[in-house]
Amino acid sequence: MAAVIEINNLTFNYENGTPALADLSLSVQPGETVVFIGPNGAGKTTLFLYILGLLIQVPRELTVLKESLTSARAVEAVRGRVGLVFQNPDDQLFCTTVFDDVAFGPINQGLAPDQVKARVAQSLEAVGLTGYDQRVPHHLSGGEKRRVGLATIFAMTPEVLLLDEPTSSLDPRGRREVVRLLKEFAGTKLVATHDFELALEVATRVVLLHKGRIRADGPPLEILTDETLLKNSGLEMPLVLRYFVRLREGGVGGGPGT
Amino acid sequence: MHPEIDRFAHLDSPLHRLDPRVKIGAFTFFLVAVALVRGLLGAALALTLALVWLYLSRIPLSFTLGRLKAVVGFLAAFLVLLPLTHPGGWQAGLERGGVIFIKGLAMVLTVIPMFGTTPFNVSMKALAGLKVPARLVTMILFAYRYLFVFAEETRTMQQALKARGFKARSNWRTLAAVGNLVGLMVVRAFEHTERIYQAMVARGFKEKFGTFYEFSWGWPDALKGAVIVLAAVGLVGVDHLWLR
Repeated sequence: MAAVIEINNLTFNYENGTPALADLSLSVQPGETVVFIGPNGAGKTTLFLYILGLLIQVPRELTVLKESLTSARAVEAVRGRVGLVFQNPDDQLFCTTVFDDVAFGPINQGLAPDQVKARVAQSLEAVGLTGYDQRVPHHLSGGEKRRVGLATIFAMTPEVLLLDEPTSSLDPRGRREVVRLLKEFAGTKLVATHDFELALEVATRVVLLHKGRIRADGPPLEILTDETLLKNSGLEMPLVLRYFVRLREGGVGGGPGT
Repeated sequence: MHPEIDRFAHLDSPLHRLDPRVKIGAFTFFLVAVALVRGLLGAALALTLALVWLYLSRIPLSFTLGRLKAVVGFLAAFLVLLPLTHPGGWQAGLERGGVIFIKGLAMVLTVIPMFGTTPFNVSMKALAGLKVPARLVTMILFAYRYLFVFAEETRTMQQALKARGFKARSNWRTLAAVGNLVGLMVVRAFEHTERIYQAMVARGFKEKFGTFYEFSWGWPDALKGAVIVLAAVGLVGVDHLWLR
């Protein structure tokens, strides 16, 4: 089966010379939920912005949804099929009403007014915010903003979702809602996060980034229980997994989710 | 707290029911007429008309007075300075200052029902419908949208300053701290704009803000618009006759 995203030897430095991504190669298959972990500055957000052609106009090292991104037109076509949810909802919600924000993408996709209205209604229903059309984004709670942010992307019916720290700054209830929405989305997902529990809940694969390079790529439990690997990459094993590892070393039980 | 100008856009009044495009067009005409007024009688008439528009809008007086606070302080400066500096003497200066003060009030009191009786995003769509350049409309929309975000961030930074024992005084240290705060807000705003632009492009934005809104206007809108325009014409006429 053709990969949804194919990256070959990607190296990217910011304009001021700061290295961001180094010789990165990656292949993502349809339906995968790939969770990217890594310390701050590892390149997770940079990678997502790069995939959507937001850092340079034509990211030649990429093939996304079988489109080789060798032209601006190809990049534009991909943007309609790959949705990026930003870490800060205030960066994503730039209109004065929820309706306008959610309708923004479908309008840019050239849909007729009736279709746009239908997409907005469906997307708000999907995130549990029916009736929020005329609400003002900056009056919403953090969790509501995050859900509206997701709705703005769902309204474009993407095949691939890129989510940058989707559970950051959320209370447990808000986090639970976001996790539910992620599990319900049937397409391919790439998630950048510091939330290792989220990785355990949704990931089919974990990729560890450190200083712009892929240090590890494999099943969630394998990566997240490798204490040495995590420490050398500036990360820490979550407490629940430390107990799991100790129990496993003592010959007791299976693992989280078993 | 909801300080937005369209906080009472949900009310019902003759001005709420007026087509936003007619409303903005007619009131803009009125504002130009107020700007052209030169005499005290004309200024007083402009203020009276502005109070009539406000009354018709049913926007609460307390909300209006709150919005006037900052403006009154600025306009009052003319009442103080012009009598001292006008070449025609203090009486001429006082009259001139009075005209500016009253006209300024009239203009602000007109803008409140002009934009306060329609949701702000619809007002912006009305501006687009009136062929105001799309980039200008987008700039106004974003400035309004992010005013509240930056106000909140400024409040947070001020709290952070206070939490570290900072007290504003008339000294260089205070000036430096405030300067740093303002500078940082500008830098943050700049970084914000880059991320917002990326979010827009990621959702297919192609340099044109696409919107759709079903405006419709009929004879009641035309009549109301005509009344406002005639009031403006009458205002300039009365002012011209008075000065002659």
